[in-house]
Amino acid sequence: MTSDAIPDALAPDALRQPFDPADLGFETTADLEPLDMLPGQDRALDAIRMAGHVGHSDFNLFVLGPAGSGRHAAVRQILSEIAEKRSVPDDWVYVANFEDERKPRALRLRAGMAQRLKAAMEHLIDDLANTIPSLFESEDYQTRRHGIEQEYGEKHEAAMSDLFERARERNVAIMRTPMGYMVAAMQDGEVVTPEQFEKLPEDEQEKIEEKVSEIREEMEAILKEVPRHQKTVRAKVEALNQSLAEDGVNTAIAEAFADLQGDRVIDDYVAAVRADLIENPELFLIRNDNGRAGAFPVATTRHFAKPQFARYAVNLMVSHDADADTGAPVVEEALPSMANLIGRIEHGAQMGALYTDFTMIKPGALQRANGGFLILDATQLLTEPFAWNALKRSLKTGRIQIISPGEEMSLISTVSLEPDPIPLDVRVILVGERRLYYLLSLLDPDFAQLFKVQADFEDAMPRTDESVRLYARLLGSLARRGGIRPLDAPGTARALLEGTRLADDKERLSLGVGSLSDLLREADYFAARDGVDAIGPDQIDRAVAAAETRAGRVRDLEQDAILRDTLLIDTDGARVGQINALSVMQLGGVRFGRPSRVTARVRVGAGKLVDIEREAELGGPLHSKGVMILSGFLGTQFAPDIPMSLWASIVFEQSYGGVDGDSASAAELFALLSSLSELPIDQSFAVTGSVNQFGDIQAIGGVNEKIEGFFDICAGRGLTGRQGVLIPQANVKHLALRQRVVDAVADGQFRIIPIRSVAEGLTLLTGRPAGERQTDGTYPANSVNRLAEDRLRGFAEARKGFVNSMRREGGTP
Amino acid sequence: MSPGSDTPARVILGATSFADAEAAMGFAIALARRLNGELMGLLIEEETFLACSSGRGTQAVMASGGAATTLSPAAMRAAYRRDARVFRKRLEEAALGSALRWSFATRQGRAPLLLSQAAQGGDLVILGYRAPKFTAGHVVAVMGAVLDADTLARAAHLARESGRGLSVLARGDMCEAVVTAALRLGTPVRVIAADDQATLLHRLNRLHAAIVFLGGESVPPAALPVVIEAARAPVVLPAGTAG
Repeated sequence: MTSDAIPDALAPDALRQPFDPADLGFETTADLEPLDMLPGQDRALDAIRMAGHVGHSDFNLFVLGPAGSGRHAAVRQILSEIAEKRSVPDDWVYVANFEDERKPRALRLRAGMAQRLKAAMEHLIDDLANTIPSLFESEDYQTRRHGIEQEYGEKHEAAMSDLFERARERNVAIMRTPMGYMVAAMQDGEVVTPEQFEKLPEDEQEKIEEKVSEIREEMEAILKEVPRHQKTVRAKVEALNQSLAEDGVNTAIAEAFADLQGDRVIDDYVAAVRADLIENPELFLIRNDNGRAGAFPVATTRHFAKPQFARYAVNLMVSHDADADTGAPVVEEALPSMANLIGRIEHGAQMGALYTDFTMIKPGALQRANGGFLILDATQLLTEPFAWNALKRSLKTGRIQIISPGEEMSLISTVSLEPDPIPLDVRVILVGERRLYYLLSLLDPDFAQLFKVQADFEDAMPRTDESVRLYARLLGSLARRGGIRPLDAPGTARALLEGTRLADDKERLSLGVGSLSDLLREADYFAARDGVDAIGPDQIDRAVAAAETRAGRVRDLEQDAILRDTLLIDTDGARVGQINALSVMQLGGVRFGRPSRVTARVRVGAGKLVDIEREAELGGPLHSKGVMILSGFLGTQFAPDIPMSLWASIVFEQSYGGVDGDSASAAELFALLSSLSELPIDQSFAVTGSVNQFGDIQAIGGVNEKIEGFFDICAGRGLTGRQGVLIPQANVKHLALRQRVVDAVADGQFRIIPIRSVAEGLTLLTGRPAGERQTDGTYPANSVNRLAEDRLRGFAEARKGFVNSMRREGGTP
Repeated sequence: MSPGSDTPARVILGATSFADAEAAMGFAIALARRLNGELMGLLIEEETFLACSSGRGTQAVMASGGAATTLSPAAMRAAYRRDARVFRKRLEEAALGSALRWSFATRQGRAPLLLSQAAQGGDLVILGYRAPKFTAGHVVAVMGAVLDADTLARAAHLARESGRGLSVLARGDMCEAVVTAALRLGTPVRVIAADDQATLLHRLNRLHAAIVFLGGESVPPAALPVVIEAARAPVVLPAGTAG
């Protein structure tokens, strides 16, 4: 096609590509075999399977794709199948470290053993709480203890008695004062005071001092023995206590752990418990009821729950039922905070102070998923403070170390614990948007090391006979899973068509199962109201229309503003430097197209193209890029042998928000060339498409919404038959327009014209040939390009004349 | 004890140091509760101690057995002030805990004389004493020429309440009467014969008493200091001693 040829408007059948119900080969989707896996996602599903089977620790998986693509369900299903075939992982418990209470011990036990250990320990403590007090209250014990105390008490008392008697015999008094004992001589039953002492003869003084000194020295010796005696008595009583406790503890342990012997971990722990119990029998002699027994007899009290026995508790972190044969765990954590991931150490308040112990350690998702799979939402994870770092640290070190955010920031000052880290063997699956995957890859060097597998979910799949069959089964499966009516064949064909619309491509089918599922459930609502057994095309249509209506308030306001000429959009007539561009607005999950007036003005200048949107900081970078491309096109298309002497401004009129994207660059160029050539543009048209420096029209996004946006305005004012939209030829395959547009085109009331080049567009918009440069280097007379180039040359001459006149006058141009 | 009254007005806990007072505090509380009387603390700054702490002829030993090197009247007075503060505080806590009326005073002088002066008719006087002991010790009652039934009853009650044994030192010819009286009180008793003062002192010295009740006319006033010294335990003075 030459540049002056006018492309044809598209036929109605090019605007959407319906499916023939007869080709589907079933009456309703209930006849179809359910689909157990998503169609068209083989690449992603294989990646998930690979990550599920590979044993290496750093082959964690990032599942990327748009929300509603069925990522979570697919991950859950595949991993559950893999997990079922794996063995049940070990149990984990925390128990007291009797040597260092701040460092609780983690015990790894065979699956099912954690509960049994806990039950055995509770039984043991209950048993001892009943037997040990009985042992210590027994007459035998009391007699033996009294014997020890008596032995040493009598020794001391005898020594003191002897001393006091000797002192009395020697007329020496031993007095107790606030400063200790005072030893002084006595005379006639009275203490000899220093004054009296000084009056005594010297030899008598010496005698007194001698006997006082002797008594004092003896007293010192006896008193110094007291602590040693007390220590000996204590040691002997403790030894007696331990020997008594040992008998009771050994008997109770043998009974409680009769069925749990032979497990090395349990045996070691029980040995430590045994030693601690023997060392601390007094724990069983503490009464918590202030002498008042509860409603139940003491023998049935839950003694193990008493505070003094907390050190013998077994804190279950992970406990499995070995007999259930459930396989490895597949855990999903909806709130992946740091604490919910790695676990936390809770604190209690007592008398205004915080305290904790190993029984307050709570497991997180990593502990629960250990030995299996952990599925996390990437956005949730990254928005939880410290959670991402905690997860990475656990994966890198291969162990779960419980620390709090306060400890991580070194802010905590209260007493806390350092529990044994638990070895980690888990496959983590992050599910998130593509943007997050690429950002993490770019910004976090650890990410690529830890998440070596990516499962990239497709947005759509090619439309083939096979894929159409699979898609019909997918629709049937969604209906079955959602507990709604099946679709009949025409309904399926209509839903397939909607699948192309969701894919923005008539040659592809959307894999957004979330949107499809929503559509089917809403259609089922209408089917129920209609009293039909299967969802048909009518219900699908109504569901689509209802969804658009519900979300269409802003769109309707926009259209209303245009129809009432508040927003100025012409849909007929012609005007120089003015054109209808098309843009797409995305509000929440709804997209709609809207026309915008683009205008351009030109004058003599120094080759500057002013993008008013950018100057006002309302234009995004892609829009600015598009405008710069226009400059490149203009500079090489027209009068390349002379300096560009143009000043031009381009603006989106009545645009008060931001503008981005380059899909209006073709429209901007047409407005600019109209202004330059002073040829009016037919306002019956709207234009979408981007342009390159060679004047080729390139594909844009949202073509369906853009066309429908302009169509609805034209329809609102009354279709004239001239109206239409120029779209890039490359976008024809993306057309999946609504029936109302197709019908108008079929009736000759509306046109959709694909263009490949700026020349084609100019010809259509101005009604005059664009013109190709001839062998003499000029454009044909009266062509758009000729008029534009002549205007530019005129600008150059004018500028040259202006510069010369300024120089003559001695000024600076 | 006031004529015609069975109930002492006060239980006076006298001591020459807080350590001695504290050792007898439990007994004093128990007696005051039993008698529903006021509990009075009396810290006696013993003149003898002050006098003896200023010159030769006297030596001191700390309770831990070490030699005391800083003995002086000033240091002794400071120790008394400290003891007075602690004594008062503990007495208040103990009395309030048992819902007893209480009072506290300090006096300077000779302990026996001051106790005699402080006690009015009907008051019961306990002289505190602490000695390091390993065993629980008995409640000991000392009977004189006559059986002091009130003193024996108080001692028996305290023995029961504190879970201790009861021993009675009495003249040989009184032993049978003591056993009979104790049995009437429902308290097992060990009766030890002590016919003269030397025997009494020797027995008392060897008994390791937890507390000693002196019955009326059991000890001549002049012998009181040596009896107290031999007891090496809190001593409840005979009711007739006071006033």
